[in-house]
Amino acid sequence: MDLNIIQLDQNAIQLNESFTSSLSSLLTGKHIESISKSISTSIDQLDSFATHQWEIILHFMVGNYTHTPSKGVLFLLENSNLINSSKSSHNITSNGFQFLLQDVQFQLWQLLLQYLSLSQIRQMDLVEVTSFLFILGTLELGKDYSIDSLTITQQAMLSDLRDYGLIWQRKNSSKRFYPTRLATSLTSSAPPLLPTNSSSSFTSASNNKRFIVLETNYRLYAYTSNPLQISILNLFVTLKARYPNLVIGVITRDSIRSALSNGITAEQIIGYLSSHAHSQMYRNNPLLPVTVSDQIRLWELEKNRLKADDGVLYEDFRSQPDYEILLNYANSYDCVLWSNDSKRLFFVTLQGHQIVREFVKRRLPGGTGSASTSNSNSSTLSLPT
Amino acid sequence: MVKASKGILISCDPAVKQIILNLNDRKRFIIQDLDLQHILVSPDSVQTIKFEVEKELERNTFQILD
Repeated sequence: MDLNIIQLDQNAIQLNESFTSSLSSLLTGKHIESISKSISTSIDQLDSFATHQWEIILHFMVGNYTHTPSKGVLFLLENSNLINSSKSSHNITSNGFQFLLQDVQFQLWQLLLQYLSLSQIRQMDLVEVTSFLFILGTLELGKDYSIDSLTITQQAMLSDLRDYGLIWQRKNSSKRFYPTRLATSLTSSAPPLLPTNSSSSFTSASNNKRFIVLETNYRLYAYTSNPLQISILNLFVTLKARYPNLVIGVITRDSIRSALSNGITAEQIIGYLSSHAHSQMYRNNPLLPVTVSDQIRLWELEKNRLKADDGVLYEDFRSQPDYEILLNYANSYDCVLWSNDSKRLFFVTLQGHQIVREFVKRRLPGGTGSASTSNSNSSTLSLPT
Repeated sequence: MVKASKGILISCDPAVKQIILNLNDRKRFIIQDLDLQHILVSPDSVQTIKFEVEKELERNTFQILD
């Protein structure tokens, strides 16, 4: 009050106008004024652009290549370990599958965080990139902003952000940009994408999330016409038939194995099935047929029946105390993978070998260690390099 | 005398171990047979073992036809 910052307005407290603007520019670093005062582009248009761009990315991840995202997006997806690219094909990874199960806001931030961590490789100033992202969150939907107030780095970011659907420009060389709902909701809890039509992937109604009926005979009925959901199912289900609002498929050993070989885990598949189970399925307890969920886990175990570890085997100990001293020492470094007391054998990891070898050199040959027995005096050692 | 030998420790279930032992008849790669579930093999043979074991297991699985 004394500083004239707060004004009492009947019952409400109001901050002084110039103080407000200074404070917000202090918090956001810089404030960009919109060019035209009124809303200049239709919000519908921006929404459909954002949804379209975002769907391209998601569809691409599940192997639907009708539209290929730009090189920048591919680079980002590969580096965030969401897809695995070989020369001709792209495969979704375990991380990527997990990514698809999240809501849009989470996905967006995950991509942007990855973008930040890559910015240094791309010789972009981290501070400028970060501050631009925060500025984006404060912009107003439907208004246009001039690129003149942006730094060179930030102008370079525009084309990337356009690929992600965060901003829209009339032309690539346009001097103005329009933030979309993806950008303006960055720092708020409002939904980042609005459903634009019925086949959109982002219809948030809860009944649309529950569409899978799974039977004990491994048959799966998915009441959906959403291409993204169908593509996700296609990752681990052999689809048999498709009707306007229904997809029928079978879970087979081959279909699960192909998903597993992409790094998707059994738990992720079961998690996906149970979180999208049809409300009819909720009459069953447990939710998913036990035969199916157990079989999926068994198929995963089957893939990992063999485990191979690099390391070194210690053998030919002269005495039990020798063996025990060395084993205890190795155990204290948590590097013993296997040991057999009666045969006096143990196996350590490669890192552990370095430590144990040092110990052997120090303690056993000289017999100086107080804990070692007389037998260890005669211990000699032959070690591979 | 303590001896340390480099190798790769294979951990598996007894059934897979039997398959590996059979493979060893064709081409020697086992350094030491440790116990029911562990074998020490030479480092360069792991890829072949994995491949052969997979092939053998695949031969013994049967699909439901529909």
